[in-house]
Amino acid sequence: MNLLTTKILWSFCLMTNIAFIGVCCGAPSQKERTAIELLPKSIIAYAKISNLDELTKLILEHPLRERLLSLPEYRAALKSGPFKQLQLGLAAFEGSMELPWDQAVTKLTDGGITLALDGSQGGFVVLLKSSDEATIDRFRSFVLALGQLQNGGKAAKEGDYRKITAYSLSDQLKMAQMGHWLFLTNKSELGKAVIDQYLDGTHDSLQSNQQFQHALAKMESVDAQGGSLAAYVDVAAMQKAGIAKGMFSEKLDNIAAEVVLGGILANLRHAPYATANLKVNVEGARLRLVTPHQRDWEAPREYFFGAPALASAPPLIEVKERLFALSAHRDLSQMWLRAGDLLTDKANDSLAKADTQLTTFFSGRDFGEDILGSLSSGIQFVAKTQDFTGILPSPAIKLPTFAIQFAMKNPAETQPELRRVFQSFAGFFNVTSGANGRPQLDVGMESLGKAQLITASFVPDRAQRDSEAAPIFFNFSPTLAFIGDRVILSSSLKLAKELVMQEQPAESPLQTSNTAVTLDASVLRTILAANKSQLVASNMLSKGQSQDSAEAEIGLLLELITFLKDAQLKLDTTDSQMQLSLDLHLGSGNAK
Amino acid sequence: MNELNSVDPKWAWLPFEPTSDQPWNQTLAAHLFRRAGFGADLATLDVAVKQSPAEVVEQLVLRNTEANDFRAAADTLAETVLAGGDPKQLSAAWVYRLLFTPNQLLEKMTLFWHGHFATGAEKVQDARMMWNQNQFLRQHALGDFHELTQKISQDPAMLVYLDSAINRKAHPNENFARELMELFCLGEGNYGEKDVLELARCFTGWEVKGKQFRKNRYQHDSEAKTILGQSGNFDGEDGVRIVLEQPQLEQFLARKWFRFFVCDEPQPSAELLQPLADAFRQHDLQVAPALTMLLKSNIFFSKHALGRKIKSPVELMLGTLRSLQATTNTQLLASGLLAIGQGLFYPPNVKGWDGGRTWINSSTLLGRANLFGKILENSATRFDGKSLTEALRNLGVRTADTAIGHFAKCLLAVPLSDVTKSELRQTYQNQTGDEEQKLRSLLHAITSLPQSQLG
Repeated sequence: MNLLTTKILWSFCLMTNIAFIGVCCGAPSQKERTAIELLPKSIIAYAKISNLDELTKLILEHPLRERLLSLPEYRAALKSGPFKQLQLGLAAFEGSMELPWDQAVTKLTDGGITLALDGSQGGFVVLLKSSDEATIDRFRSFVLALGQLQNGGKAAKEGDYRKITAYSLSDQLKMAQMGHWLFLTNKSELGKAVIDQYLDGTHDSLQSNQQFQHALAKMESVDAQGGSLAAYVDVAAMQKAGIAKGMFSEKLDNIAAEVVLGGILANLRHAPYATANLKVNVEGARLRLVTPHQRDWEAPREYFFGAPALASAPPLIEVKERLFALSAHRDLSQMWLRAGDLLTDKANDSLAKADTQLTTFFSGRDFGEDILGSLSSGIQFVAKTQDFTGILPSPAIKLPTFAIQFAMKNPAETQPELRRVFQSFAGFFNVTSGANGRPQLDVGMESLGKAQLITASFVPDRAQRDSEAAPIFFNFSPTLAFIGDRVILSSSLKLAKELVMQEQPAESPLQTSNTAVTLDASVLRTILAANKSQLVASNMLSKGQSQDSAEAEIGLLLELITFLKDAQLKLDTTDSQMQLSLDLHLGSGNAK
Repeated sequence: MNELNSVDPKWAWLPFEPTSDQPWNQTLAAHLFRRAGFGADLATLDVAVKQSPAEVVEQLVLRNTEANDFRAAADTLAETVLAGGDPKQLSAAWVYRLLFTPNQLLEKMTLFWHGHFATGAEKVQDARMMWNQNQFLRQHALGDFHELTQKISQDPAMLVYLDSAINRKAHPNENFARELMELFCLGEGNYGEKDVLELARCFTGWEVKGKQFRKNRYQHDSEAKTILGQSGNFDGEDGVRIVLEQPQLEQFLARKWFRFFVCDEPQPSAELLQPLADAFRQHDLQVAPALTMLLKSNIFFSKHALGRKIKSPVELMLGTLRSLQATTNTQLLASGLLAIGQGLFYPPNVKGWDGGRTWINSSTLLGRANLFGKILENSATRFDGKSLTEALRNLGVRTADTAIGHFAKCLLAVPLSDVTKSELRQTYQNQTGDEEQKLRSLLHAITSLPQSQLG
């Protein structure tokens, strides 16, 4: 070889290496690509599960699992047909992966699991990434073997796309492995798009979807402890595609749904996207659903959010042995008056009938404008256990007591009105009860400090006076109470008295919360335990089980509740964002 | 022609003795359990065929006169359900009892008396009163008819139902008096209008106050009365006694029992029924001995009885479930029975249920099939605590043909033709879904057959 030829060869090698280095430094390598970079821009729903190993560990080490394993029913269920098949499948999986299943799952998904729905073709794709390519290989082989078994021994059809083998597991499911990645999809074109992104790494991916990036940036970062899920939905695209049409209706069919969800659904109709973030750890779970919000999206549901400024809910009512509390801002009068814009014709017809009857009941005063209009927009609801110790007759079924509280705009005018209506209602009830042989209400009045209480209690028959298994009526002693600007309608006198004696906080801690709900699981357990015989009877009748089996099942239910401590739900609204949060706190599994 | 006319009354009521022509086998044992109760599974039938028919009948009767753990548990269930005050839940509690009771004849007779002394919850509206009556009927179902009738005359639910909660001497309420004679004891044509008026006077002052029966002496007509040929200063108990003394009583009840236990039609002659009627009277109106005689008799096990009744909705549904050791959502079943014409605690009127051909019309036939469909689709429906597939496999039933044979053996009083079996096989093969769905579909098809409606 002469000197010229050598120089030419060296130049060529140098240029090739420079080009190669340039390629490596200019774009991520295939191994480094993220799921977002592999997915096409047309994705309208995306979810990523991370830290699955933490979640698996949490499930395997949780005391609830230990408790379930100790149950004879659970052990018997493990021997039943479907479970046996599951165990065989699990054994096959462990054999293929050469690891126990939990370790295999951890290794298989240590790069994350991503699920996505494509808007352009309606396809879905599931992407798994592992740090170990051999693990992905083994999983691929397992899936193929499983598919072959289910297809009566027929191996999956294979195809080649850009030197990547794709497998047709069924008419609806295809699979391919790309190095450390494995994906499953129901649409070939979507699979090809993923492979193209993997090989070419173009910028025309979900990564370049600005709305998606904006949403992602706003989501909470993944906590190091506990598994989590982060999700994104292009709401506008889903609406356009006609998915979940019911959720985007302008008008609702159900007045209760309107009061509870009207504002949320209205927001969804305008929001371009929504995100969800779920964190699970030893203490519990936390779910956040977030959408953008704008004030000009609220019409005609200003009653839900507050006008002219965003309104917040009053504080949650605190009482001993509280089961449940709800606090919300809802201008019910506005809602009632604007029902024509909010509800369907069918719902409006029912409302119109109710309006006529209620107007009669309220001596000709318009229910929506005069009665609901006399109440402020803060609604507070509370429920707690009832203590029947020393009280006779005591009902066989022990229900919680509950109350609803409002603030009156003009107490001097509203109080006599409501008092009259309560008394009329008790009278009407007594007439119909007498005709049907049911107990009647004895109405009275009490003062407690500055509070005035109009009371009603059921009068037992002579034979029932000392009964400890009295009818369900004896859970109720309906009471209407007034104190200051507050009006309380309670199912029991005791709770009404407790509420009128409460000091009201100067300011609500729920600053930006439109709605707040809380549930105490230990109190729920107490109430269910007090009614265990009823639950057992209901179980026997609904499942045709023996008493022993029913008692075991109800006993298990009561035990499972001890693993939940409480749950809280909040709807927070600002000028730019709406957030719905759900927090579940886990208990220790020990009954009080 | 009435084929029963050719039956020798003496032969009819002699105890059945198995012969080589008519052996005591699973078919006859199944017939006995279907009629004396609601049905039995194959294991129970296997035990029964090892005894004599008389022994099995005696056990069925004897078992019902003793208290047992199940009765206590079932009573506790009903008491718990009563706390909700809903008679419809009480229906479900009775269905539960029918499904699980070891005291089948007792429950069958309680059902009989419920239809005989018909009282409907939709009018009474008080679950406790309905339950008290039901317990009372159960307590006396196989006992003394005197006591049964005397006490039912003072039952608050009965009096409310017959608008007899108030009965004043100035305006005696004839309702109960008429029904006592016409529907409960003597039948039409065995009393006059004057007897109704006079008997009604006996019940004046009988009223329901605070859901309890009481006698209001200020409203009682204490003057002399003449009822059914007897004169005297009678009160209500005397009135009932006089009615019970009438010789038409035992024929009236014998005819009802014949129709309930033996066959819907044709009507038996008075001559054919007389031995049974006489036995009832000779045993001082004790129900158990009369029923024992009926259930042991030649006519009960004869061709005049086998497959000669249209099953009532309760017999059909409970019989099918019991025969297959199945359990289900009893609330669903109770509401379904009401929909197809036999709601427990909800007889259609004071005459109770007419039975026989009135159970079947185009609407009720479809209703029966639909109810079976709902039951079989319900996740609570299990067979011996397992899926149908597992339960059948445990019995060695693994193919469509063996399943058809098994269901036919368990459920049918009349055999299936080869054509029907072939059609059923086709149903099974054409059904999509897994094995469980196919078997449930097959069972549904069998229970919808005309043959399944006969018991």
